[in-house]
Amino acid sequence: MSPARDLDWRDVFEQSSARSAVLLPDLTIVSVTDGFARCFGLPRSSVLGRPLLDLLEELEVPQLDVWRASFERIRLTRAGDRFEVASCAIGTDGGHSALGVVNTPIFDGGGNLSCIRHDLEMLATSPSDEQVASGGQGARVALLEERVEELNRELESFAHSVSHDLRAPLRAMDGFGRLLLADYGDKLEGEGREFLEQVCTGAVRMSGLLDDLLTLSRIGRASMRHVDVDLSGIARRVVDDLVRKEPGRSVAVDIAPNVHVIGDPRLLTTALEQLLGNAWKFTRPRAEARIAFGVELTGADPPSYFVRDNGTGFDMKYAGKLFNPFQRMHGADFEGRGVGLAVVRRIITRHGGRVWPEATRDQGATFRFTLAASRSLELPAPRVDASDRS
Amino acid sequence: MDRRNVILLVEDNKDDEILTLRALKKNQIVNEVVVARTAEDALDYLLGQGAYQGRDPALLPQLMLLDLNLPRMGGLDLLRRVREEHQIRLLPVVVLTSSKEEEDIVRSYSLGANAYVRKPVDFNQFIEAVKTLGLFWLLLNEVPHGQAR
Repeated sequence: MSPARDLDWRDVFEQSSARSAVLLPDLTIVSVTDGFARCFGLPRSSVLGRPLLDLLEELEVPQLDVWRASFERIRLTRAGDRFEVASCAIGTDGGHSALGVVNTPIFDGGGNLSCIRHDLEMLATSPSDEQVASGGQGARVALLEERVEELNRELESFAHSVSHDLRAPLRAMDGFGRLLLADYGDKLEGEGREFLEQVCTGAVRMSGLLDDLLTLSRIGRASMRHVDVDLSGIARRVVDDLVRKEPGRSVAVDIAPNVHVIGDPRLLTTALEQLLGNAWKFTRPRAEARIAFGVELTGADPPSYFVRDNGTGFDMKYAGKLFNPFQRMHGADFEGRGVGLAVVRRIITRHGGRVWPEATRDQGATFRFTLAASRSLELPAPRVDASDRS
Repeated sequence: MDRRNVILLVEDNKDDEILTLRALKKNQIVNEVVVARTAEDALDYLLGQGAYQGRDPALLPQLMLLDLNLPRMGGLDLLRRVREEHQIRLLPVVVLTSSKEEEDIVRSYSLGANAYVRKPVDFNQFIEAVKTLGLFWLLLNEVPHGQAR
C-alpha cells in the first residue's frame, strides 16, 4: 500500500496557496484552498456551502454573465473551459488587472458530472505592482488607497453629471411639454394631449431614476463612522413616521427592545427605512398586517437582524435579482422604482455583513442581515476635494 | 428707467432661461429680468463695466438667480467675487440649479449664498418654486436701505 493513501487529500488541497475551489454541479462551493479564500478576503467558513455566483454577485464582481456562460458551455460540451476577465480586482491580495478562470469538469465512473474544479489565475500584473513587490506592504496599501481615491474622484464627477447635466434636457422636455399643453392644448385632437402627457410623465420619471442612481452612488462613497447604534430606537422612529404618513392603516408592529450594534447611524437608518418601508408597503393588502424587527442569536454565528412582514411576499426563484438596482418584483400595484434593496445591500456590505431574503409568495417576507465586527473590509473614506471643480 | 427692481438671471442654458422667464410670468412677477449668459457678463453688469459701462453699481438688482454650471467662470466663482466686491457684496443671491449634491449646497452657503433651490424637472413644481421665491425675495424680504431700495 502506498503511504500516500493515508493522507487526507482534502487537507492537502485546502492548504494550497493556489486559488482553487471545488463546485458541485449546481455550483455550490464544497471546498476551497487557502489561496482562494484569501483572494476573496473571506474566511473559509463563510464561503463553503454557498452558490459561487451568489458570492461573486455579492462581492460585486463585474461581467458575471461571462462566468455563467462558461458553466453553460461545460454542461453542453462536457469539456474544460477557460476565459479571462479584464480589470477584475477580486479580493484583497493585490491589484491584478486581469483574471484567468479555468473550469474543469470531473466525471464519476458512470460518466455523470460529479464536480467542477474552479481555478483562478492572476494575469498581467500592472507595472505599479512591481514597485509594490519591492516596497512591501506599506507601498501596497498606499497604492490601493491611491486607486480608491482615483475611483472616488471619477465617481464624484459622474455623480455631478447625473445630478446636473442629465437633468437639464429632462427639464426642457417636461417644461416645454407642459407649456404646449397649457397654451396649445385645445388645438390637439384625440389622443394628442394624452401622448404629450406621456412625454412629460416619462421625463419626470427619468429624473426620479437619476435621483435613485445618485442615491446609490452616494451610499457607496459616503464616509462611515462606527459608533454604538440603537437599532430598536431607529426602527421605532421609522415606523412612527410611516404611521404618521398613513394614519388610516392598522398594522401590528413588534420591535424587539435594546438591539444595539456598532455601525454608521445614518446609513443604518437608511437601511431600516428601506426594509421597514417595504414591509409597510407590501402588507397594504392585508386586513391584519404584521411587521416585526428583531435579532436572532444562534451559537457562534454573528447575530442576524431581521425585518419580517406578512405581506405579499415573492417567489424565492427571483431572490437573486432582488438586490439589483431597478429590479421590481411587483407591477404598478405598488409604488417604487426598485432601488431600495440595492441601497440596503450596499449599506450592509459596507458594514462587512450580508443580507438575504426568506419569502413565500403571498405569505410574507423576512429580510435578514448580519453586520461584521471586523473592519478589515472597509475602504478608506472618499475625500472630497473642494478645489478641483469650478 | 429705474433699475432697482431688476432680477438678474445668470443662466447659460437657453431652455432653462425660457422656462424660468415663463415661470416668472405665470406667477405675475413683472420685475424686469436681466439675463446674463456667463458669469463674466453678470459681473460686468453688476460692476457697471464692459458692455455695461456707465451703469451705477450702487443700484443693486433686487435678486440674483444663479445657476452653478456655467462655462469658464463657474457660478460659485461668481458668488465669491460678488461677496469680495465691496459695492455689491450685499446682493441677495439665490442659487437656482439642477444639482442637489450635498457638496454644492455646502459650498454655496459657505461662499455666502442666501438660499439654494433645486430646479425641479417637473415644470409644475418649478412654477410653484418660482412663486415661493418671488413671494419671499421680491415681496417679504427687506434689504438694507441705500444699497438696494
